[in-house]
Amino acid sequence: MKIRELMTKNVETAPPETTLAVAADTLYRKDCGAIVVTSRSGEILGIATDRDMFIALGTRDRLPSELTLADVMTKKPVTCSADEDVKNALDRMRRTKVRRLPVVDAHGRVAGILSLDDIARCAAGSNGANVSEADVMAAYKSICEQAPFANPAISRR
Amino acid sequence: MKIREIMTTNCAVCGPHANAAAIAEILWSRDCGSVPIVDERGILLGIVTDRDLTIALGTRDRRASTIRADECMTRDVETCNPDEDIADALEVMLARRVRRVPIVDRNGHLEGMVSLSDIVQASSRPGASIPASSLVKAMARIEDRSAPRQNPKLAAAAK
Repeated sequence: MKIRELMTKNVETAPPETTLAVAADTLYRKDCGAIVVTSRSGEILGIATDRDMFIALGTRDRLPSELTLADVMTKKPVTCSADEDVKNALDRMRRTKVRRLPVVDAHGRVAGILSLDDIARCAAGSNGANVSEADVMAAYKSICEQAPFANPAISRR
Repeated sequence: MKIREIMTTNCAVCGPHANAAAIAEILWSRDCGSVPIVDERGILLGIVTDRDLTIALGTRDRRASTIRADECMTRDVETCNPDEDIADALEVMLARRVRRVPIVDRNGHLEGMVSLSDIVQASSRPGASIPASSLVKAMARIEDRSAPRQNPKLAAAAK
């Protein structure tokens, strides 16, 4: 199965100058856990999760309207492309210990996002997916192993 | 397998008056995503997650040091007791669509926490009777975006 068939196409994107006050509102209204940060022409610049935002807000004690996605995002995140096989994406999640991969085209423009849970939903269904429950479990275990918080943009000061 | 065998017992806790900056330090230094809120006797009052706090701070545009745990915690928390089976904890996660369940004794005293990843890690150990299919279904269900599950208090100040 191709990533294209499984990815969320209406991914939430925002420019890097977006404040965390605006970004938090998006997380709430759209019930999503991350925002993909893009340039004016739609190219991927980074990704910021709810956790990235909270650690920055909490440890720096600044107003959300004073911090931007550029301050907290992970730059150049691991991505995948829509025509790759879902199995490749799962393997990449397991190796890099991330749960979400932005989907980009050949020009780096954002086309969607694929989460481990999307793949779990697919493996739990019976629509002929070529990923097994065991594959999903292995990736989940790897991601959950205590990995140090790895976003270098987030630090106390 | 009983919850007691896999639960985290040394989990960080906060009082209801702890501010979000103090909680951020805990979530950062302990590398965890949520903190149970307890009173001075250790009785569970609620739970806050990193997501709850991001939304509470961001939508109200407040500094972390000015918002308290009891302003944004989820109070209506489903719990298990340590002698229940890990399958019971998984049931709670499925029903409430949460990844973490506080474990309390009969008096509501916090004994530990169990996360979905604890159950996944334990599932390959002898005596764990949870098949991979149940766990994968749980993962899919907990993150089902077609059914919103926001804590309505979080964005109280959002227009």
